[in-house]
Amino acid sequence: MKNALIALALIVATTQAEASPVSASKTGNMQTALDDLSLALIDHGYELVKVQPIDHALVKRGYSDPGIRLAFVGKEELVQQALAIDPALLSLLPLRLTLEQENGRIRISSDDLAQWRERMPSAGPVLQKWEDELAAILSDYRGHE
Amino acid sequence: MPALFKSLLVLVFSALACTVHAAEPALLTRFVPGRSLDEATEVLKQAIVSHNYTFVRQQAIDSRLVPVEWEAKSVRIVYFCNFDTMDAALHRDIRTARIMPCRITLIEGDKGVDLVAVNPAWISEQWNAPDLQPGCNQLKADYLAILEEAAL
Repeated sequence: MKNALIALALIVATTQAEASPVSASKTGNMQTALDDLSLALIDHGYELVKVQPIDHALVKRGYSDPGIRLAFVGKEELVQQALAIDPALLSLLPLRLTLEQENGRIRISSDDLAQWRERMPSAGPVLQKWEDELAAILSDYRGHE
Repeated sequence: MPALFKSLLVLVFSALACTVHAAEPALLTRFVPGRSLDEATEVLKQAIVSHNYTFVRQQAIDSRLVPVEWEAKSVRIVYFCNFDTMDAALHRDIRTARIMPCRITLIEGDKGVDLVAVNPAWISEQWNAPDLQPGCNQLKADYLAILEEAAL
């Protein structure tokens, strides 16, 4: 009985566990992080499409600084792949990266593409490729720290 | 034994809760018949403002990925937000940045324009944070209201 309960608990825990978005963290500030991210993107054929400075936007309006910026990144090939496989994928583009300040470090994390793979199995290989590329970019961002 | 039975019930109800959440659609979509991409963008921007959100920007789907003259003319993204909501959400949980800012993708076809948004209530289901779900459900309702108005 006890073993059965433990097994059931593991199954439920696995089902409910949050899928982990790709992420990397290293010492620095927002500007150095964006500089390093830009270089990593270029090395992988990606472009930094737009930085959304949520921190500045909120502070400018009298709110406290959340220590968050968003970077939208991509390459033309992703658009073509989305159009070829499922135009619904266009709603993911350009890909979003979240930059978060934490104790003198900047953590960059992607959206959770595993959640999309689960919902759209036919787009799984393309989504996996995008995730792998983001993982490689963020690995370069982290460097050898 | 009663404690074991109680644990089992909790696990079963948790599993059932997962099943119920799985019904949430990944995308929220509406069709704007008989309008061009420019016309649909304008009515969408009006709907955004009328629902107390701020229009942030619009761009072609491949903006900055190709020279401006080559940008796609049939797929556009509109970004918007509500700063009060954004501030409150980020204070509550930093993961909410993954649904910011709001964005709707417009895809022009022969008979009109499809409006497509990622459902924030679906995204937040993965966070295992029941206290965030009401806010994400409200955001979903706002998206739907904006999409409905734009599609009228």
